[in-house]
Amino acid sequence: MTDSCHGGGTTSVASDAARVVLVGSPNAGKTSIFNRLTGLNAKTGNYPGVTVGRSTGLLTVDSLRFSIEDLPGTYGLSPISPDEQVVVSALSGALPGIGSPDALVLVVDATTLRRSLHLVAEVLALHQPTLIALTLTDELGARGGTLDSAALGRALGVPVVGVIAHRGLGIAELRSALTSWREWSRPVLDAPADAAELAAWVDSVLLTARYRPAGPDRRTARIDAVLLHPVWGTLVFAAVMVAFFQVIFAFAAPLQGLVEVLFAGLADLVDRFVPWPWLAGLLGDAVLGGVGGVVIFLPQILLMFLLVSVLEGIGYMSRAAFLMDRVMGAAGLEGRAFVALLSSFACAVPGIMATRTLPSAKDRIATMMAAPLMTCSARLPVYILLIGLLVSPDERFGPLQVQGLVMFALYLLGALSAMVAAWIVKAVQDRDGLLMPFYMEMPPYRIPTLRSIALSMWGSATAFLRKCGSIILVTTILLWLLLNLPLHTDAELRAAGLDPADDGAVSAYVLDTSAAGAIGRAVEPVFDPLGFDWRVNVGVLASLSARETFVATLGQIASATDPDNPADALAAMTYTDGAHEGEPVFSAPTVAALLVFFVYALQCMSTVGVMRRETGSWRWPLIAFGYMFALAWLGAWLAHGAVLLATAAGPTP
Amino acid sequence: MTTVHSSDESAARPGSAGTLTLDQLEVGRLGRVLAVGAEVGDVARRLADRLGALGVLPGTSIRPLRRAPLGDPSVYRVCDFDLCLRDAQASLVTVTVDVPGTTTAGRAS
Repeated sequence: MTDSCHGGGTTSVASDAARVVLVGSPNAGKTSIFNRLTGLNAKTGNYPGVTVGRSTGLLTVDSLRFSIEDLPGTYGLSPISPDEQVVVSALSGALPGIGSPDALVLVVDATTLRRSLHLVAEVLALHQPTLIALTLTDELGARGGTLDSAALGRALGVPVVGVIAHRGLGIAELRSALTSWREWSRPVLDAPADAAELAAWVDSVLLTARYRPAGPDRRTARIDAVLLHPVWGTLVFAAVMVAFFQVIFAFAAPLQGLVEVLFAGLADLVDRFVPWPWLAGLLGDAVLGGVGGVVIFLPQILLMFLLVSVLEGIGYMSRAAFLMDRVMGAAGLEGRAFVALLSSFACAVPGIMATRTLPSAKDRIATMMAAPLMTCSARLPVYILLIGLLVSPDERFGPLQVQGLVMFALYLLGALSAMVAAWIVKAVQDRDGLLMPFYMEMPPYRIPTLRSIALSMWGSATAFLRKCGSIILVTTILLWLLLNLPLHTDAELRAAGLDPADDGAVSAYVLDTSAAGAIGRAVEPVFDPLGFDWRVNVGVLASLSARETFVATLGQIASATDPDNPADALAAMTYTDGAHEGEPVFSAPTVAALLVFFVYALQCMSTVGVMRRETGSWRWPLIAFGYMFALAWLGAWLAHGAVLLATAAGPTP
Repeated sequence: MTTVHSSDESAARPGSAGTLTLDQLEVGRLGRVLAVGAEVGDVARRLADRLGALGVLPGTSIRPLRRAPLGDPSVYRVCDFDLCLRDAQASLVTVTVDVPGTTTAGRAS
């Protein structure tokens, strides 16, 4: 235990801990080692100023404290992407606010040792205390390869520890090796920089380490023959994606229903036991509604990360990317963006979180900017209500119901717009000329461990709750206050000619006189060209917390007898003042404008919050909100004008 | 067009006898990398460096395993692992087809 003497006092301050960073290629097993070392003590965040995720965690061995950091995977140290620039900057201590590392753990996949030695040469040239964690030696052996890891250590001049992270083998040795990081042996000579000499150096290291490469993985080859087959592979891919979507879209629904029932029950309790109606409203509707609005996302997030980590762990994600690359390439993205965009059909929040699987920061940004345009499930109730106001269920186009066709057109419009948006965002970012080449390792098929799947689900859920929960909660409370203040006493209600017992009339009156009502009137000039009445504006404002709120708010405004099904009340609603007095509010041009508005507008603070969390700054969520609002306004204006012209030309209904 | 990591400048030019770019190499056929070339410039040099870091270096054997259903990208076996490249990147790599005796996988006939 003499090791614990050096390093001075090891107090419980993280800055006193030795900083150890994990470096290595993607798929080398870096993250498994990181998870084994830090367990649930890991934290995820972002590197300052860039959309690159940062994972750090604490480890204590024999009262020595270490801060462990899992750097993004990289194949080399001449960066060609923001992610790789982070690795280079982190290794040299050039990142603002983050010191330089004390020691490096270089994670090397034994089955790709020949290739990996190029990264080894580059990392050793940094002259930092370095230890090599040699992974996948079991797979090397199973495929007929051999390697003498002690001899490899002698050839390279650094300590080598064999680690089979998914079985926990070698982790104890790695832990205890970390305690003596100051005494790690260092290479006597640098590896040569010249390409030809480097090749000779690689050969000599492999010879000294008695390396015999693994044969081709027969199991993987057999599976690939089916899964990457032009016909069978495409069919399996379609089936996997349908199942994936089904789970996120349909399986999450009953769980979300449970969350709703739970929070409705709690709100009911509050209503019964809190004597002051305004406090009951604040606690029951605003606070509990807000917390419920956060928790409601958990089923989808957990299910999606369950599926993503299983598919990723098996190795299917890169196969799916291989099959879809050409299609996504048309939008300037790569195959791996497909899953994120597909998830966004259920909800943009898990969709945006899924962009973590993309290796390039530019692709992550482009996908995030596009994801909210995919038609999420929260738009469905709004679409159903509005389409019902626009087209009668009896109208048919040939054998097809026109309502269904409109719905399909809205989905198509959203998806195509998302592709165009991604392409533009990518093109704008590529102005720097740093065109990230597309390359992807196709790892052998492996069986993921329950542990890695559980950690991925846990990590994403806690990160969402911690970073997005507060944003959603604050938005919900703020909107509730706007929609319900100022408060009215029964005497005031009677003075206004209302019966305080008539809930529908009272809630309509409360909304009419609320701060939100004032805002709705104030912004009328902005939305008037789209045909939106101030009451529609209030609905749009309320839908900022979640799009489906639009339906209930309109119901409340129209003092519908059933606020969740307000179609009849809305159809009868007319302008009460101004130039349009007496005309119906939900005329065909206005409904068409609203539909297009909801296709484009980022009416979802949860999406804004998760974008903030994933990009590490407010810049991208603000850009997204701005450009989507501009598109929404313009699109709605065009739709309004077009339908106005069409109805003026044709017979008026 | 300049070439980086070129061992033999004249043999490295695609179009000269027996050489072609990697994206043109038939599936299943074994090729040997002659050069990893790119247009002039810092970025292009880094792309070539990256392909080198992925194991695509002059003298290395490389074999296209399969192409995606829509023709692009392709999976290659190089340096004991499977690497997926788009044609845009594969076309930067000049290869020569190894003499028939050395190919082990069945040729597409």
